[in-house]
Amino acid sequence: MRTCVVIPAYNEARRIGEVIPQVLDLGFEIIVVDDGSRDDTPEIAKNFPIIIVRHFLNQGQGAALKTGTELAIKLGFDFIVHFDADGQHEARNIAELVEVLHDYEVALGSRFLCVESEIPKKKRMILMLAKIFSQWLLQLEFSDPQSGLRAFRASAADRLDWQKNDFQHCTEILNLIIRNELRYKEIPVKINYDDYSTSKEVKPKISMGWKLIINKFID
Amino acid sequence: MSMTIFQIIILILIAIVCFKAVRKLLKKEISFLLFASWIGLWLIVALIAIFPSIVNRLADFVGIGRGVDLIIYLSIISLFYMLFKINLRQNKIEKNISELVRKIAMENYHDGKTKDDV
Repeated sequence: MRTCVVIPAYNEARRIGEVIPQVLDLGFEIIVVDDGSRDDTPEIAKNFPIIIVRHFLNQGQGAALKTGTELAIKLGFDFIVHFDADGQHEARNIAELVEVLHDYEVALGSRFLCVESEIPKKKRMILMLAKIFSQWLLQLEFSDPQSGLRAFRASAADRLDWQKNDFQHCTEILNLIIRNELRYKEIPVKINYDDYSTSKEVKPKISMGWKLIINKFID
Repeated sequence: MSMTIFQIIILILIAIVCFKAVRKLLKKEISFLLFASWIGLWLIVALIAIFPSIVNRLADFVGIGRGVDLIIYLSIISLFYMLFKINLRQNKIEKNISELVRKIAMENYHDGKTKDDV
């Protein structure tokens, strides 16, 4: 069974050179989707034996993940893993997610199920609010709705045609998992927070909540 | 018939808008249909500026107190509709751009194992 780790990267020259070897060392194949970076991200990625696909215009993480996922399906991979380029995710979790895929169609990483996770107070509060928001207003019963570490069987990923390019893709993917009645399991994963990854995160805005609610009703 | 300064300013502005529309039509920058609708709209505005009583009678007919109120209501409704249409069109353009970017990317990926650009 072939596993492909899809890593979306936008201006990640500082970290991508550390993240790629961590994944390669565990024997996984990689597709890096350079989402129109203006730094040396693609040049650094080209130093490794991996597949690189490039958006000539920045489209957002949702679009980059979609491109990587579709390419992985096209190239005949059996399992597809979404993994961040900023060093927040731990490569050892990939094998645990893939293991789950032998019994389930989707595996979702959850930082709230992991006792090791040291989530900064401010971040924890934002994530908890996002979780309450997802559960009450969007009716999504997931322990970590904003988690970007997830894995799919190719057949399952093929049924998840998410359209949102921006931050909304996380919620949209969860919605599609429910709508397609895919069998999923959440597993604990450790997320590493440092100044670099925290500075790159999308700052929460009230307009994000509105967007999610409006889309919930329109869909 | 004497006109107020406001009416004169409105008519001058309408004349400028119509002149620009004619120039764009002659340069074939806009279609005849768009030109005709644009000129039609401004002719109505000019007519209302010269004979404001038309709107008052119309407002009376539809049950709105003043002609000015009728114009404001209609303007707000039209602007919201235009915003909605522009928003839809913008979303469609963004989606098309995204599809194009992703399609080009998928057709030109670099395989680092074989060092091939596909």
